[in-house]
Amino acid sequence: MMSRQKNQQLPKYYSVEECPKCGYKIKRDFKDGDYVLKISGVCPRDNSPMFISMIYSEVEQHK
Amino acid sequence: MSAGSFSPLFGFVPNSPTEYALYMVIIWVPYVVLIIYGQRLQGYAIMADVGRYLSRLKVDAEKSRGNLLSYLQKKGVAGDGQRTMEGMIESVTIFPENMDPVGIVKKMELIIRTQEDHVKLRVREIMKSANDLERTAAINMLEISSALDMIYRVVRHYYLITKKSPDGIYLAAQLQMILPSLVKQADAYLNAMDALEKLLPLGDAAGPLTVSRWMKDSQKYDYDDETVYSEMDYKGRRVAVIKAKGPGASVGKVDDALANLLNGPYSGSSAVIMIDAALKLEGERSGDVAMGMGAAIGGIGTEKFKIEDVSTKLGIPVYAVIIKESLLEAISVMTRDIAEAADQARKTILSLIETQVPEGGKAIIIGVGNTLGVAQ
Repeated sequence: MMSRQKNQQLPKYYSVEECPKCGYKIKRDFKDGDYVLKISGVCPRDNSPMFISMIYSEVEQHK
Repeated sequence: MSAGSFSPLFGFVPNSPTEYALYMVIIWVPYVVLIIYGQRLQGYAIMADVGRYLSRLKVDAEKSRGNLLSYLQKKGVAGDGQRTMEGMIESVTIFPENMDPVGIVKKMELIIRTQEDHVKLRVREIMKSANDLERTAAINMLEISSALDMIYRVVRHYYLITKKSPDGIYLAAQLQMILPSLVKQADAYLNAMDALEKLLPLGDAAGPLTVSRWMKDSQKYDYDDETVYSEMDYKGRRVAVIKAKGPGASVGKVDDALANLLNGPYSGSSAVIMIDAALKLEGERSGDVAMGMGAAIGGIGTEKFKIEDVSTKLGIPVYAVIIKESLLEAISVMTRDIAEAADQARKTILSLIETQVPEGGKAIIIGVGNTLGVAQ
């Protein structure tokens, strides 16, 4: 029981913002209201509006 | 001890008659008890295990009900509205008789559409001040609550029958075998409720995610309130892209939209390409992309039937591009492997268009699946 609790896998959600012009991508924590293709953020390279290209979960090993 | 002779104490030599009797009891009584009552004891152990799984299913069903009511509360629905939704959790759908299967698809479609329309209408009445996204989330939460409630009640039914039956061990053993995977599915459904509230894409959104990129900057047309399509030009080919309308949870009516396009502006198309999440076999990697022939679409089969029907009548080949994932992944928040597979799937689709559709020709791509969290 204890070992099961120690190795509990907690999913964390991320959004990936992508610049449609230069292809620059940045991964950040998912925020409520995010959805794929939502305009979100500005590209640090060319100041173009970025869009969310992916939202996914990744499991973090919780020790 | 001579070879071949039998010792009831397996070679142990007692020091007194009392010790002899004691060791005889210790060694032989459990043996006799296990011979006579072994199966019954095993049955008790199995039933205790099934009982534990049943408790977990009950907890999942109650939590899902609680999540639904708490979501309604947040959206300003209380009292009668909440009670009506609770009543809808136990609503039943009776499928048509299949002794004479001719025409059964239309009958099933009518029943499903009637049920969907009824639920939409009731939810619209209950959630008057909510927007479409919130109402869709509530409908999907209701579906999950209904599914979990049904799973719990069916398993409880067999559990109680097993307890009453003299030969219950055989039924109990079957229950014990399927329950671990059933409980995992129930847990995944419960977790999906959180995804619905936050608009997180599920693994099943692999198809809509793949095609959404092509629809982003193009003119979109509503086929109906749940389905959308757009057009693009790819190396001299005219291509229509269909998906359910996001980012709310919906699978759309892609079958009807396809039939409409094939019988209208896309008549004479050279190919229909369907992209969907498909169940992987154990040992296969999640997110692998494969290409094949045939209609890649799940559900109860009515959409698949209609797509096969229209493509066969018009003689248009149907190609399938699938992104492999497990059933649990399909109903859980999308994983990175699956999200990243969309790029590979797009390349496969474009390569199919180049090889199967001549320049100047037409094709239709369908992103199949629940588009929760994926716009267009």
